[in-house]
Amino acid sequence: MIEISGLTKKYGEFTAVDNVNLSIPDGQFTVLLGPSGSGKTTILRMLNRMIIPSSGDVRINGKDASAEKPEDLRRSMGYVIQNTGLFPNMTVRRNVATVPRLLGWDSKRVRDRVDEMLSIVGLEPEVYASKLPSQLSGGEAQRVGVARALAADPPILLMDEPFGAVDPITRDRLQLEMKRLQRQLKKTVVFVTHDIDEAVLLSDRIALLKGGVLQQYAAPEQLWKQPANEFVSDFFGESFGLRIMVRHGLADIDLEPLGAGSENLPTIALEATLKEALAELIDKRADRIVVLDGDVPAGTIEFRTLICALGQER
Amino acid sequence: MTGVNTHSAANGRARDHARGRTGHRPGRSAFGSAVHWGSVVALLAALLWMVFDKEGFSALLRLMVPGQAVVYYPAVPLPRLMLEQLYLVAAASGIALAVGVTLGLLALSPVGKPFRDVIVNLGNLAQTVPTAAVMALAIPATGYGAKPVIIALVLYSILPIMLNVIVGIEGVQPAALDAAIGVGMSPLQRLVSVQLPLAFPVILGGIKNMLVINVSAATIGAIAAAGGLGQPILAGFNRYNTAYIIEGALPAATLALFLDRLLTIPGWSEPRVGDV
Repeated sequence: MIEISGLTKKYGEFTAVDNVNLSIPDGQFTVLLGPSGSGKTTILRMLNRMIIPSSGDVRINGKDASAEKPEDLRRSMGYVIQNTGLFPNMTVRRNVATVPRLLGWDSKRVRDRVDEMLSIVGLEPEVYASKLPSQLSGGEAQRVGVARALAADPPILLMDEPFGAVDPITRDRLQLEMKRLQRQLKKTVVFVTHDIDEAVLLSDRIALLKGGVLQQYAAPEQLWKQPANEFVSDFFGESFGLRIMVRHGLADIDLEPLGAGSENLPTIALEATLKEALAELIDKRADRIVVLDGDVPAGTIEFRTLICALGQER
Repeated sequence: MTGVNTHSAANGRARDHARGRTGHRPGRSAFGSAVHWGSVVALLAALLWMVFDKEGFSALLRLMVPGQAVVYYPAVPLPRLMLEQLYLVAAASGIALAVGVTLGLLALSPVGKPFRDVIVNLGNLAQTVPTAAVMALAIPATGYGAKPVIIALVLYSILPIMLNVIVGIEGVQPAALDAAIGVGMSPLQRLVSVQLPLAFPVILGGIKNMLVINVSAATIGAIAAAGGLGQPILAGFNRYNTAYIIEGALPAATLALFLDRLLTIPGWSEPRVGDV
């Protein structure tokens, strides 16, 4: 549990972060979202005291973060930044081993852990461990960055626009893997981005900021249904509902029984998201689609059901 | 306002200095590498030949300076002169390295940061004083011999080392430094395992230039009776014997070239900024 209360950062006359209160439950994926200069990175960096707050405090599991030695505090939180921040003079193995070594693990344990972490982020240790960062693609480097952050198994993961500098296709893949990883590892993740789709896809809750002031802190569905102010609804824009459809799968909604003539309808896998189902309907100019559970038709969905599904959620 | 100007001027100067001194960037190909190491071995062989093959080197000198009766400086054998030269260079460079790195790190530390420009300017100042003048000024205090020469060389060598430490460390990729702080490294751990290794190619450039400067500057040490390869050069001046001059100058130049090549490691120069 991370509790942020009255957190403020001033640079002379300029207020970068203004009296922010946030409570981040364990195992939740929280996205700090906002335009540039909204203070999201400043908040993130105050969590591990890379920036010292002007006032207010950060409590981690009830303990005041300022009471701990900054180095110890940082070692208990994984840290991933844009452009990876990998140490170019060290091999992938040494990079991933950074925090375990700082914590004084013995070399056998470090070695095993590095292999395990590389596998978790989808890089074969035999191929990648001895490479230098300059020999990696952008996506691979970013995976190594995530592996390094997770290596000492910190309960908290801080990520500052980690996928901001990779190409769109790699970014999509990394986002999906991040989502899978989060389900698997149940870390408390605080993630900074200015990308709405990324925030909507990954988050349990979004903290939307503007000019250092917290506008609303809620799940995307809530932000869509009950925006706290005009800035919130303007920021997410007209297609917010459509964007949220990626968060829900066909498996979450009630299917209708197969009727006569369903063999001529287009089909889609049960694992697909609502957005994919909608796209398929538009693509095939159909108003009904058969949902396949493996190879077996599980039922059908009508266009109307699909567009009403979001409203019924929660 | 003046403060700001001074700062940026010193900054620009520091950077120019370091770039100029580390600009060489050899290729990374296997062929380039073979050529490079071949040249290192060839220079070393030439150097050893000149120093140890008295007959052969004399023959070359006779060829270069025809009509000179005595071509080989008789007072002190060449191997001994080379040894004295190496001693002067090694002692001065070792001290300058220790002082230069210390001053450079001091200028970057929280304590020394306000004095960064003062330190850089002092280094600049030390380099503007002619080496021979420093020796002459030091002799009354130290007496003749190696000491005044080493003092002069050290004063002269601190700047390139210090500047390259400063510029090298200031040039470390911000992302790597940010990550080093973020993962929880202490300032010392950051310095040792991230900043110094990443700045090392730039610092090595400074070391290389210092050595090249010192090899040539140490020959002036002969005027302070410090011995070394300057001794036959000085004798050549006095006796109008060009062969003596070449006997001292050619091995000195070859030594400088050899050290420069030796420390120019192919595919290894400034940190590869942004190449992560």
